[in-house]
Amino acid sequence: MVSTASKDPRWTLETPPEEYKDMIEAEAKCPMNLNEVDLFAAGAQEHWPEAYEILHEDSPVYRIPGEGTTPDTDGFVISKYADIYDIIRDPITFPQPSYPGTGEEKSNTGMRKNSSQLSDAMARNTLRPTLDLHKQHRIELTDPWVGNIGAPRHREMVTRFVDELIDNWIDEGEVEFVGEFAAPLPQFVMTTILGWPLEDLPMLRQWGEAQVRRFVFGQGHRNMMSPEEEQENAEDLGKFMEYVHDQVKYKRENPGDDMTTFLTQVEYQAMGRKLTDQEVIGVLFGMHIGGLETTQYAIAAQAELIAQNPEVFAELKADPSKIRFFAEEGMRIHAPTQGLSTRMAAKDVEIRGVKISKGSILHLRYGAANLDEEEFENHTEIRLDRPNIGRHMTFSQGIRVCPGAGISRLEQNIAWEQLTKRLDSLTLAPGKNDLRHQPGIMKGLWALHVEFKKS
Amino acid sequence: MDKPYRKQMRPGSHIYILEPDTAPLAHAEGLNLENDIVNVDEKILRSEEQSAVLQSLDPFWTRGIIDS
Repeated sequence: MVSTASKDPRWTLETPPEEYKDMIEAEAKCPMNLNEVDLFAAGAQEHWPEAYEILHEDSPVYRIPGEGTTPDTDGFVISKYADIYDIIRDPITFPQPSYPGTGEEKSNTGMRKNSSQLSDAMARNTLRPTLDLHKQHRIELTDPWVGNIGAPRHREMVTRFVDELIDNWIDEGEVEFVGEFAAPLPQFVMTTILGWPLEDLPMLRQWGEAQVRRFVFGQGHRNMMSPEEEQENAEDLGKFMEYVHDQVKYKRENPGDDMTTFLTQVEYQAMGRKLTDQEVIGVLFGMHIGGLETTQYAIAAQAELIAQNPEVFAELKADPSKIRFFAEEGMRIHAPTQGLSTRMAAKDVEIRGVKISKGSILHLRYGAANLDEEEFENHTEIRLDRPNIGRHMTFSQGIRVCPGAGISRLEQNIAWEQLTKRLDSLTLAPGKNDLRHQPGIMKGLWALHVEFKKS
Repeated sequence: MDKPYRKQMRPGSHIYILEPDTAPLAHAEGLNLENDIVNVDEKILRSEEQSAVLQSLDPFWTRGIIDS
């Protein structure tokens, strides 16, 4: 293999788009009471934990008027662990929502005619029209590669990339950890699993950002973008679709040991046939959007926790068997995906005394559930012996549990196995960090400057 | 006078469903709700081969599947 995780300045995070400068630099006041809570305001991401405490205490079912599936229905932020637990286990009462203006615009292929909705349509893909097929989709198509069953096969490959990235900066004593480690690692890993050329990573990075753009720069709980933003994003995603289509065609003629080849060849038992190019592309879109930024944010947040808690680093170094528990605690405390409006009420329901009419959208605040004191005692503490460790909501649970949880966990675990093996310490670089996060519904550090001692 | 329908999702749950199963559902895109999917979580283990693999794994790696 020619490509390695060579040092390359392109991995420094690009300057965010100018049009989002105000949103990115906005300062929000830490909320002191319910009237001051707005999870979706610019700058609010720096005070989410404090806002969650207020929501848990005063309004665990928080109404957002007029923001349901129709103008006469509402949105609701659900923040308690127990409520989200129940909701995600009943996909009949709480199915995936449809949004106004998107449900009836189908072409003959089943794709939405409105290209601005391309990312959503592709991420959802057309192979999962029923709950049963949704589950079979995971079992047959994604589990063998990125699920809990298939992920461990990638241990050697992931370890190699982790070591190569560390090699790039281990003699320098300090590093910008996001750009030089947390961001490139999942890009190398997912591109390799998909079987795409690593030389294409700069383009793939750009398209990956287009895929998550609405979740970072979109407005409100539904991640709404302006028509101009939608158009620009659709153009990027259109190019990405052409690229993926080319990869699918290439792999049909030049098969390899990779997920793209697998999808072109597999006899999908659930449907009794092979997949079409369009179906393969749909799965690959989902893998690409799901496998990059989320793992990046998790590893970066864990480095911040390590840097702020040197005793934890020492404990992991002394006993690497505890790394898996640290990764789970890191994901619990700083969930990369803080919340998603991916459920609606199909029936009239009542949650904690709040009446919710059918058609309402439920914004499941996974990041708040993870910090629910009723579920996780002393929830701000990293506790490697927590009895319910790993029961967080970061990957969601139930039928729609994240299909890539296995590969993400593997990357996080190997990252800390190697980092604790090769370093003696990891601390924040004085005067270089503001520890600010991207806006939107994801929780991702822009940058993390750390100092370290080589073992 | 009809008694209002009010069904607790599970003992201890804070969620009550206010319409019977026979009530028409609000439209939802992406899922066919007419399927028989009562025991959803159990179905992931319905393949004997899949079940055997899952059960043989370190439980840590099967969290979110078997537990859910």
